[in-house]
Amino acid sequence: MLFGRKALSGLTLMVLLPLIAAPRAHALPTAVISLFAGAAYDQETGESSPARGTVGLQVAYGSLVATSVVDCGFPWEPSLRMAADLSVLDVDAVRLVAVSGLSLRRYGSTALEAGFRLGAHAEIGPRNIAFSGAVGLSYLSTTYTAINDTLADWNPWARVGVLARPVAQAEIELDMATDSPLSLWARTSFELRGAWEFPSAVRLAGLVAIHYGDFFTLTACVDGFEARLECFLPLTGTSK
Amino acid sequence: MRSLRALLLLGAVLLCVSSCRYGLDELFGRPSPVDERVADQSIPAPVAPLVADPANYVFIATADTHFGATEDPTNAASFRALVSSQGASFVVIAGDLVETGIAAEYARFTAWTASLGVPVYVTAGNHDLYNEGWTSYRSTLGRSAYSFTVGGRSFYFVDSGNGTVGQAQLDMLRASFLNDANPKVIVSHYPLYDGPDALYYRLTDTAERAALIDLYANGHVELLLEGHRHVTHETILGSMDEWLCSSLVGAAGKGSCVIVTVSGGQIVSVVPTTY
Repeated sequence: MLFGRKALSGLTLMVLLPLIAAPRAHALPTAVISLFAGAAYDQETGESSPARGTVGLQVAYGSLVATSVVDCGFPWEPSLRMAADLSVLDVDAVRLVAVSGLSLRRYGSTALEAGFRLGAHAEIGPRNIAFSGAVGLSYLSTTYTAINDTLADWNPWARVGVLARPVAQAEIELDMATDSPLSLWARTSFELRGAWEFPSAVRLAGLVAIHYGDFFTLTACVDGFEARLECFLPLTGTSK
Repeated sequence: MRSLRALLLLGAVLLCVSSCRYGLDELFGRPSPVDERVADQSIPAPVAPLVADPANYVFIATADTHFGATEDPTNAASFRALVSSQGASFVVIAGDLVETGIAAEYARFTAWTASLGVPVYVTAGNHDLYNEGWTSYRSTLGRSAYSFTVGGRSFYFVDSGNGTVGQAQLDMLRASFLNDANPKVIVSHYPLYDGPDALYYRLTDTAERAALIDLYANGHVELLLEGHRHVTHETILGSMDEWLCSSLVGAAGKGSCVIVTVSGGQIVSVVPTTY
């Protein structure tokens, strides 16, 4: 019950924080608030809801980007994530971002998971093509209905890849990740992400990923596939 | 600086050589993934052990025997002596039976199991699948996923050799559990949980873990016997007792296993033992 209250408080915080930030951002011309929605297909063992819908809010204010997203499988496997990314260094050849996030996920009626993650993401190289990498630590606390118990997990995570911006409107990233910040699953994944921003400032972002049951012990079995497409609609401000 | 470069080069070469031994050409996809292995019903299932008194018996669980092609693990002979001294009715081994999956290793492993004098029941680990190891496993050991009953207790061997049980096996387990009200023992290679700091050496898909914990806890699973980490470790998961069984490899006299005693139809003790 105590965990349930904490989870509800976290849920409320995640939903409200971007909304609380919005009025302040509205008063400042440099802020960009975007609403986004999308669809996903995420097929993995034990996954009861591969078809998923997402809706979220993103606030970009100076060097800070805060995102809240509800990601719900059908019929009922919701997750909710909030991320805050703070750019701490942006020079010609090096870009460094501190990343953090909170998450909640329900696995049907079987489990409720809450967690947080902290880490750093770095780009090294010219802006049009650079090596990218990230490392961090995540914590999950999952309450399982059947055993009436809460289990904890500490997971270091990392990703390494290449990020390209061949033209100003486009961003493409190819990654190998041990724990995908996009999907919450503690997996070894190969991901291709891309985004395109139209002249109207509407942005399309997509992800295609394959997940391995275990990769680093050379066991090599693809047991999951994920595809996502999201459309960002700027409500205030402009990124240009 | 030059010595650092040389060290890095040496490390890269060693990594490459050691990886090649494990079939690096299959890095992005081993043949016969778990969904295919468990769906092949043409493979014979092992026969259930004939236990003199199904309400009172002892069995021994170990894991990670890692048999090589040219020599037995250090503690193979002393394990044989332990089986005899404990009067075990059968032995279960939770995967990584051989080191690199080649036929010569399986031949050595089966010669050893035959010498134990009691039935041996196994399931697949990641090492067993290297170098198309499933071909040898299948022909020498049979199915990697199966079940049998001793007295009023069911034993399920779950194939987690790819680091996942897979959707097909999960569905098969769900169907089997519907028609099996017995208390159950699960034997699998990858740990289901193993505590908050087990990191990567367990089933890593949180959705799969949620499904398995739900299935096992509601399906009267009382004991989980696992391997992979080469340690002996107990974790309580509600009414389920999760035991990691240690390895046969390592220093002489440092072999470890767990001895399970069933008395009056109940599991009365699970005792880690060094031999």
